[in-house]
Amino acid sequence: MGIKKGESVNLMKLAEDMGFEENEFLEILELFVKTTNSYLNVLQSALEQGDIQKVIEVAHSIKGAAGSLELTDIYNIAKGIEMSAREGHLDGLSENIRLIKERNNLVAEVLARSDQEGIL
Amino acid sequence: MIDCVKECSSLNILKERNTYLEDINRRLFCLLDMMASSGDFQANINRNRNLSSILIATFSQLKRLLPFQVMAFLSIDETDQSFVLKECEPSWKQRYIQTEIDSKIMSGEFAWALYQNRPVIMPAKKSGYSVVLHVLATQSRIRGMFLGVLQNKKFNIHDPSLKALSIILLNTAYALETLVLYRLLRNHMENLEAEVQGRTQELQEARKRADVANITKSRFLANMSHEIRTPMNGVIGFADMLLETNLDKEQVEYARTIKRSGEALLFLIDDILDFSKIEAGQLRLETINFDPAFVVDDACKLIMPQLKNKPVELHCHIEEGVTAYVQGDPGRFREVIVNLLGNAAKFTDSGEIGLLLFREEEKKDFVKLHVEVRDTGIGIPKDKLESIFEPFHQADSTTTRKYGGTGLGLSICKQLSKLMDGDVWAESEPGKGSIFHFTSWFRKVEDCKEEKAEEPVTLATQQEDRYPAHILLVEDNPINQNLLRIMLMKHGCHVEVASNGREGLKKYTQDPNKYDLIFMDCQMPEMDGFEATRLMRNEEITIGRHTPIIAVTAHAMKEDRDKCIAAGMDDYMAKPIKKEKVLDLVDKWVSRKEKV
Repeated sequence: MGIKKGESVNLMKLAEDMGFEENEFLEILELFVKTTNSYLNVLQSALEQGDIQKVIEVAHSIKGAAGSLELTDIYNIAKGIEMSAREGHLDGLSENIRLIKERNNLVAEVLARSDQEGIL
Repeated sequence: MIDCVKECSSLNILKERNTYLEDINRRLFCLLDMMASSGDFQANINRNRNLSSILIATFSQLKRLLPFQVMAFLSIDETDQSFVLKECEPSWKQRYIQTEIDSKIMSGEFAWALYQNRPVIMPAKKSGYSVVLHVLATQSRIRGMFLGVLQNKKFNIHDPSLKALSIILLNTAYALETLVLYRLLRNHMENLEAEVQGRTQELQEARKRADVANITKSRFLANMSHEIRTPMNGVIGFADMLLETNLDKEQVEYARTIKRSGEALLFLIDDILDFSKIEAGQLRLETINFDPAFVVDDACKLIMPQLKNKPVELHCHIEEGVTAYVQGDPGRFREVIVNLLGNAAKFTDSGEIGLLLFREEEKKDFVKLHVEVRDTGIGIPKDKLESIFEPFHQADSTTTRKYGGTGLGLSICKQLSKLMDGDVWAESEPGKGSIFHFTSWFRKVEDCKEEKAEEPVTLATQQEDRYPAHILLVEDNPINQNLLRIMLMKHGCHVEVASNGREGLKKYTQDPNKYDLIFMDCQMPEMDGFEATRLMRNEEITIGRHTPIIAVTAHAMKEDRDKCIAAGMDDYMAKPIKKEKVLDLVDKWVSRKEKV
């Protein structure tokens, strides 16, 4: 499931499916947004230094986290980075990082909105 | 005087007669000599596989018969049907003999001689000499011409000698024909061989290409596992979610069908993937210690739910003494048994299914186990008893429609059994039932170190009497860490978290009796889950208490599961993390016994 604007209802279902209370799930999502942001910073510098191993490692972590929360878009993009790095290609991956950042911001937005509106 | 003249003339007559008889005697002697050697000659010309040795043998035989000065053989040129000089003896007379040939051809005598199936004698161009021409012909065709030159004063026409000459040359003609035919045949054979070789090579190349394509296909399929399973899990998962919403009766039925179909499809995909792995040669058997009786028991439990709506009884009998530990691949051993039991369950509507495990053969270090699965199902026609083990085969095509399945199960069983140096086969009586046999060799384990908990797996406990299990969670990803932690805490468990294998090992060794269950991520920095598990299992030997470890991995293949089991893990959970899966595993592995 990709998170898009106005899809907070799906988030709620996801939370239910995973057996979480709303606030617990919000907490995890917040944690996700934060860790993903810091991961992305590490990823960016690893990319600049050409540290392939590090790129694989960090992309794998983002992928794992996104996969568990069924954030399919982020999962797929992170997976793309990991696979590309495993094949030794680092070119053009900044674009992927940007895409993850964009989607991560979307999640943050949904969170912020639900904070105000209490949708979840 | 007259008397004297008379005497003189009679003396002359006597002398003449004497000379004549001597001459005859000499010739007969030659003939005898020739005939005596004719056996050798025959063998010689028939054995020889080249023209000049046949001719040399012929010439020497002819020389026994008549005092030829020169002998020559002419063969027919294939292209223009003319006669060419092939062999001449002595060879330095070649130029001379060619003049004789040319003059006979010019005079027409040569052509005439061709159609006389006997020796033709005529004066030679060289005075005082005669030429003998004799055609070399078999019944089918003319093979050449013999030409011999004799000195007039040294020979007289003598019929038996000429007859003998004909006989020798007839033999030679046949020998020449044999030679020609032999060469023709050999050419054909060589061509044939070359052709066969060419074809074989083409076929080999085609086969190689097909094999490569097949392996590529299998690899592709095997590697696609995750890709195929993820959307399927999505379909099943969301059908599940749908079922929890407010639906009317019809919608519930539809959603359930979606879920069931999804699960069935996933099952088929697993089969096909397994088969592809075997085909791609990517399947490797584990060698870990296990108790076959335990595996058989487990397989029976697994099949029970399939029988709950049918009047079918399941009996499981394990021969005494089998319960020794063996070394092998318990996962694959179980897979074959589950498959055979599954088939029995599928095709038996009423009656019973019996499973028997016994030792068939025992050697110093190895034991051959025999599993027999007997059912009272529809049975299999005799002519299908072998083909059911071929891939994509079922007893008949309507089987697929009625009972489902890929038709790969038994083929996989067969291949797995071969990997275990055993076999799978069936006997059956249509309408009465079938018996499937499965044999496999395992190394015996003398001094058994258990690699699996001895206490039987306890089934799900009731929610209300759940005991607060202590769980160690070893997982590096903070999100997954939190997800699992919250899920487990909500289930009433006490959870401790470690961020990598090393940390997990440290927590475990500090108080090994504290934890009832460990969730172990496989891929982690510093120390991965496999290594941590191995080290924990080493610790256990001195502690004497087994703590179940559940692997958490991103990979869905059975091999990954086997890898986890090999490292000493007890069970396996594929990502993504789902509440149901997590809680089922906790219920499965935290036994009632420990609650007391």
